[in-house]
Amino acid sequence: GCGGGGGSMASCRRLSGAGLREVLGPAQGLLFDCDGVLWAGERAVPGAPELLERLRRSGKAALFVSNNSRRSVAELERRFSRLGFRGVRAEHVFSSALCSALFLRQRLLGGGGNGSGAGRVFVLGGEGLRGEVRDAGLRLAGEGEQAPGEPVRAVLVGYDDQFTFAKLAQACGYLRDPQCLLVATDPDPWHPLSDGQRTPGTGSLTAAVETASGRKALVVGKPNTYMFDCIVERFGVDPSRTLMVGDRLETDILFGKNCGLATILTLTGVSRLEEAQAYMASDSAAAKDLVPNYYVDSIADLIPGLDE
Amino acid sequence: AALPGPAPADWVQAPLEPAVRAVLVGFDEHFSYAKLCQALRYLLRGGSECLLVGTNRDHRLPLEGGAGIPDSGCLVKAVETAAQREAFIVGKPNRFMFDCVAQEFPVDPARTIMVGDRLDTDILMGNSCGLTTLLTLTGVTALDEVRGHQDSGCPARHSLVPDYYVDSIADLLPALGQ
Repeated sequence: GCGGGGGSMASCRRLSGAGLREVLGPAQGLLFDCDGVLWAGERAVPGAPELLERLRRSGKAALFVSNNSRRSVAELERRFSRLGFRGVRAEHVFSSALCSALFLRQRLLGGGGNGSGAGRVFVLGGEGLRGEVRDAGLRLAGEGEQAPGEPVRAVLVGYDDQFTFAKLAQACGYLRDPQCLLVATDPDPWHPLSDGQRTPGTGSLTAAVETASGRKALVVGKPNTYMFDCIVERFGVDPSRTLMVGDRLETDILFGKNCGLATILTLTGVSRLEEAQAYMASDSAAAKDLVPNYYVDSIADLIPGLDE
Repeated sequence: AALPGPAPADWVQAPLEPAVRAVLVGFDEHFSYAKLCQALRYLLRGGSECLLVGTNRDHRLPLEGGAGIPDSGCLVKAVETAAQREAFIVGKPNRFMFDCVAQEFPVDPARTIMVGDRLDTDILMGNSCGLTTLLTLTGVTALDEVRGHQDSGCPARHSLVPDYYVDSIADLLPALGQ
C-alpha cells in the first residue's frame, strides 16, 4: 500500500519506473497543493493538465488543498479552467479561505443558525477571503447594518496586501475581549513570485497581530489538519489510500505526515531537494516529519505510473 | 514614492536603491504591506550584507486611560517572519543602550539605579548590566507578575525580578531631603 503514517521516517526516494506503479497503483486518490505544483504564476506546469486527465481516466480522485487565501473557490475553479485543467469544480477545491470560513461558521454559528447574535468577523484580507466568509453565513465588521452592541467575535488574518498599522491597531482592540477568536488562514511566511522574488505571506502579518495582542492564532491551513477534516467530511477519503503532493516541506509534507498520508515532494516550487535531505540528516525529531516519502522533478513524472 | 501599480507583482518591479545596506524597523504608524514587501526585497538582495535592525521589541505602547496601541515589536516580528531571520535589537533589554550611556558618562553600575515599569525590558537590562533595579507600578507591570517570576523555579525568570519597587517614582522624594 501507500500509507505514510506510522513511526518510521520517510526516506525521500525518487519515484520512477516500477516504484511509481507500486505507489500509484493502490492509490484511490491524490491531494494536490496548487501553487508550485500545478502552476507557477499564470503558467501551468508542463504536463500537469494531462496528469489530471489521466487520473480521471484511471478512476482516481484528484482533490486540491491550498494555503493561498487570496481567492474564493469559485475564482479558483475559473483559474483551473483558464490554465488548461479540465473538469475541476469548486467542490474539489479546499482553499484556506474556504476552510477558514467553515471553521468560523462552526465556532460562531454552532450547528446551524442564521447568524443573528453570532457576532461579526473582522477580516484582514482581500475580497476573495471576505466573500468566502460571507458565503458561510457570517457577517463582516464594517459592512451593512450593525446592531448596537453587536460584538466582533473573531479576527481573521489572511493574505492582506492592504495591511496597515491602523488595521493592526483595530484588530488588537477587538482582541482585548478574550471571547474574540484570533484565526489565521495559513502560516506561510512568504510566497515566491515568478521572477524569483518573494512576497510576504499571512504568517508575517499573523506574527504582528499575535505580538500586538499577546494571543496565539488558531491556524486553519497546512500543516494543521483542519483542511483534511473538511475534505474527509465532504468526500470520505481513506488516508491509507491517498497521496499528498506538494512543493513546500514545512506545510504540504508536514500536513501529509500529520494526516497519515504518504507524501510526494515535487520540485517545481518552493522547496529544494537539498532541504529535504538536510531534514533527513538532522538529529531533531521534528525535522524528520518534514521529509517526504518520495519526490519527483515535476508532477508530469507521475503519468507513466498510471494505466493507459 | 507612489506604488507602481495595484498589486505586489507590480511593486516588486520598482528598482531598489543600490546603496541600501540596512533595514531599520521602528515605530511606524504608517506601516503597510507594501513597506513590508520592500523591506523583504532589500533583505533578500543583500543577504548577510544587509543588516536587519529593530529599535525595540516592546509590543504595546500604553496610552492614557489604559488604552494602548501596537508598538515596534509587532512590526519587527512581521519583518523577521517574512525574511526568516532574526533582527539585531538595539533597545532594552539589550545592553547596547547602556553601553552608549556609559561611553558618554562616568557610570558606575554598582552606584547606579535603573528605574522602569517593564520587567522584560527595563528591569532585565538593569539586572544584566549590574545595576540596582527599581520597578515603578505606574506603567504596564502589576506586582503579582513579579511574584510569579520570583516564585518560579526558572533562573531566566529571576532575571526579571527587580531589587525594589515603588508605587510611583514620587515615592522617592522623601528620601532626597528638603
